[in-house]
Amino acid sequence: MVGLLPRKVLRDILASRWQFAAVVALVMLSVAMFIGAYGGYLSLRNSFDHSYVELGMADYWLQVDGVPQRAVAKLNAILGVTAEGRIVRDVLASVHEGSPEEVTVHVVSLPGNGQPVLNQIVLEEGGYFSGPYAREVLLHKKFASYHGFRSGDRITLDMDKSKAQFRVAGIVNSPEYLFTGPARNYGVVFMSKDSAEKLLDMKGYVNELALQIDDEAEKGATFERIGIALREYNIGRLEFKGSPTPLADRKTDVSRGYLTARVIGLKDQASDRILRMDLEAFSGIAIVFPVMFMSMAALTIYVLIGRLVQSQRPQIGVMKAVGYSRRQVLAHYLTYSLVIGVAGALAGAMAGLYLAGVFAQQYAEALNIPFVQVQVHWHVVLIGVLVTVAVCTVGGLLPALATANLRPAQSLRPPLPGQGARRLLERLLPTPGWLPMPAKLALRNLVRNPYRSLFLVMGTAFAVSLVLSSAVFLDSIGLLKDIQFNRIEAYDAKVYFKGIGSTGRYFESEFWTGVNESEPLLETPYRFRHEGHSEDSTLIGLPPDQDLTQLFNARNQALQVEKGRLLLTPFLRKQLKVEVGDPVDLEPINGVVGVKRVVVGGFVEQPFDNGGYLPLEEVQQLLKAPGAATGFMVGLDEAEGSPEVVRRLYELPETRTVEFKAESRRFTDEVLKFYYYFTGFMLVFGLALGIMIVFSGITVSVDERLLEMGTLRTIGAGMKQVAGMITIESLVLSGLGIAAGVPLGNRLADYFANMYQAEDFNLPITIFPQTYVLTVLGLLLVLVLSELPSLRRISRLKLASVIRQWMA
Amino acid sequence: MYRDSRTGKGLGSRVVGGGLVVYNETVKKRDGVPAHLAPPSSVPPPLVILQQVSRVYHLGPVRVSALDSVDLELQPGEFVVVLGPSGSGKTTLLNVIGGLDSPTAGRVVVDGMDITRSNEARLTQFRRRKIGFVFQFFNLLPNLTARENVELAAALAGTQRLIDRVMDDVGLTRQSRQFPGQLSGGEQQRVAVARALVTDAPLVLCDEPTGNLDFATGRRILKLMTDISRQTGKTFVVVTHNAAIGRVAHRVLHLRDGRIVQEKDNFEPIDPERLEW
Repeated sequence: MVGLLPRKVLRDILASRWQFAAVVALVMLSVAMFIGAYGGYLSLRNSFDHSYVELGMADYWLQVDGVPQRAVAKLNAILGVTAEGRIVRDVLASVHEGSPEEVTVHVVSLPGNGQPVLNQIVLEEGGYFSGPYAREVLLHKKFASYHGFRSGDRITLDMDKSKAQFRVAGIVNSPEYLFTGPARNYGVVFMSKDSAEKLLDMKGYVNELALQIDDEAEKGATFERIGIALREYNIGRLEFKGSPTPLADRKTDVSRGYLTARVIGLKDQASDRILRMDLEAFSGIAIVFPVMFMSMAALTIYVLIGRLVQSQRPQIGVMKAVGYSRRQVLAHYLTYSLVIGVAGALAGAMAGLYLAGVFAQQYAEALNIPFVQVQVHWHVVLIGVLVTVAVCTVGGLLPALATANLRPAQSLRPPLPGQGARRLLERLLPTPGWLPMPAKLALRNLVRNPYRSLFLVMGTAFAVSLVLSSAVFLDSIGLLKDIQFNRIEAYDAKVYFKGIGSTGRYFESEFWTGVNESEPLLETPYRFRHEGHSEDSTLIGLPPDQDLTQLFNARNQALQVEKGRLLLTPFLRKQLKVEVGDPVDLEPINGVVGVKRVVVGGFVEQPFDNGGYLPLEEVQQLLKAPGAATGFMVGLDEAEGSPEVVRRLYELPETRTVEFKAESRRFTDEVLKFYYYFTGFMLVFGLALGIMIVFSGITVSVDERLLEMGTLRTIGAGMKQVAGMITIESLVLSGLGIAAGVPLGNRLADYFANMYQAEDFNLPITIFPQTYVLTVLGLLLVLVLSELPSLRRISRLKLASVIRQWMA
Repeated sequence: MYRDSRTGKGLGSRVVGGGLVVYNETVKKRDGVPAHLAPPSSVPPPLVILQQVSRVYHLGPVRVSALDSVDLELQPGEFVVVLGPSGSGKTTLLNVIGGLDSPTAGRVVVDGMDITRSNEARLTQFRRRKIGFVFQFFNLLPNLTARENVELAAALAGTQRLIDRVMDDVGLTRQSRQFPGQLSGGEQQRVAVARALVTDAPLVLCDEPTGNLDFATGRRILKLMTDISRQTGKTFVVVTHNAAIGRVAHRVLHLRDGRIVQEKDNFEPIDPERLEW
């Protein structure tokens, strides 16, 4: 007898191979998704952590105007503190020979004779500085790659009115600068400490202190010691993000001649913040989506095994009659779900391991993470496989238990024809009597088979929500780009001055050929305060009746800057907890002059960057700089300007850099590259889920009622009528599924998209109407296609044999 | 004149009011005498004609001849019982007549319609209008009420006007809103009979209609069928293992190995209520 039952299992599975294959594929997808996404997430996290550890990523950065180099030694003497001093400053660089175009580069000093202790770099091409005084620089790979720099090339830096040429010693990568601005306008350049001191006139000084504080050290006490150590160098205060110094204290500091060191923690460091944000979203998706898949797989197994048990009632009777015990029969019917679980889990584990590697590798490459650690996380695989097998077994347990409780004689008799009296649901939703009979039958089937109906409704709902929660990224990014580049930024280029310049320049540019319109702007870092809430951001002055920067609120109403009425971006609204009419105190971040109270006049929609808008003249008055501007915007004949216009813009004496909108749009696409990749992947999974659920649902539903279908055909129902009935059923269920799936999808979409909100990135969460339409149409297409095999089966039914079967 | 031995009334007489109602105009009898019993000059065309009908199945390498060159004619108004051991071809015969199966050889004509080589669409129309089926396991749609099961067949055949009368005739008016799961076996079979009658088909094919019923209920169902046959002139073909049922029929066919080995006319069919088995 041994071996007979496994053989029966195998043959039964082969007999219903497509249904089993669909469920195995569903299980496989959920395991693959879990192991792929969660394993990928862990590999990425490890890659960051490993890169941070290997390269000594700092925990904090202290920005100061300047402290002697010996201060670093003092800090290093504090127990639990490792400090590194460096010089950082933005300067200009000429990147193209003979072109007036200059790019802002962030100069960071490194020890001339070897890697620093903290914030090390990874050399990807060329070599380190040949000596401490060599006129050499190392270029960050993004910047080098965009401008075509190779080691051995030359780059001219424009530092404090003097230009100096440097040899590119090497191309490097650094986890500290994974996210910078568009490479056309911004780059990171490393140079030896001695060269930086000399060229930036900071001999013996540093203006940034990178710190690592041991995990065991108590942070508050350690910073207290650091503060005491720095007091010797005139640093009277450490200011942390989120707890700005009150203005009165700052005034006291000024009167005493104290300076402030701003402390930036790793979590507020730009690159780390964006990476963590991505990772959190990744881990959320890695859990939520597989849970959805797995619950559908369990439900599918329940339905499938339930159907199998029903169709094998006589066999169960025979098995018991010939002496199989209750336990043996139970075990036999549990074997089916176990086989599905094990097959799906193993196939899914293999696919998941592959996907985890692909995710981590692609993402790490997209972000330029220095050390990619793609590892097999066996515990994730084990959890995935065990949970899957357990869930599948539970899915098959109820139908299997039903077999075990059947008495042989009972099994050998035909079951009663379905349930008897009307259920509550049926009483609440009576089938209208005027409906044509096929429609009535279809609706009655739905109400009287709630589990089968629930299965299809849930499956459709999950498929819809999965598709929508993926599509939300595409649509939101589409809207984001539309808002930012087509609506807010009505200009083609923005000219940034080296410091504060004159509004006269914009006026001058308006007369150039190729320039249609020009408007000045004044941007300055400012502190915004409201009732104990404070945020450092940018105060932006725009001319009244501004045209090149369009401001509008969430209701799409145009807004204009007005005196005394501050227009805020949504992030600042959230941080300051303000509403229209609330007062906001404006304080300069540097110095103590220029304080003003204004009221909130409205909120502007703005995906990128943050700040508050006031009339240009009001900001000029605040800065006590009438006629001042920090740049201007121009509308051009050509999107990226004619060579002549570009030359003239760069040749203006005040010009630091010119930012073209077309370039920003390309940069946005590049930064969001991974979104597209991941969204595409999720969409494919969502569609696959939809296909498998609908296919399984319809197939099982038809299978369960083959006798019913056969009877219908016997008494004269044509294939059109049978197909119509099945289609009505599927349409009603899908309709319910879609109705449930859309709000679920919207909530999920909101949840995932909100993970991607950041200080300088407001993703406008939206799903376009056409996405809903396409999702519904796609699902209906899947539904129709899924019906075809079942309809084919019904059309080929051997009525003579089918109608003699028991009514299941 | 042939007279019903139980009632003394002429077969096919149309009792309208107080008794069963004639549903159709397909009764082709003369003076109430089943056509095959009438003198040759007055014999109407047979309702069913089978000429040299064979049905062969191939079960792997095994060739099974379920019907072997069967010739048969059934007259309007006949109540025919087909007997035979398992595997003798009884159900295959029923299926071939009902257009559920096609013969591998021979010719099948029902009510003037040659269905031997009909395509599926034509067979569907044929079954819808010409045949009523009654099965051993009732084959009711579990999610339709008793009345709705009857309505479904009526809707397909376009004979909704007959629903109320048929429900009344099978004695199920009170149970019409019950689902099959709420009905007894006998009641379910009554619904099946009503479903077969409501289409106004001239031929009712019954496959072991009492096979799943207790003795008393089975007898009541037989009574219902014979009454209806008598009152409406519909032809009934009943396939059964139960030889006793042959006593209520006008004609009994015995099948063995796919052949009709014996054919017996019964000039005095008994009332099913007197039947014992």
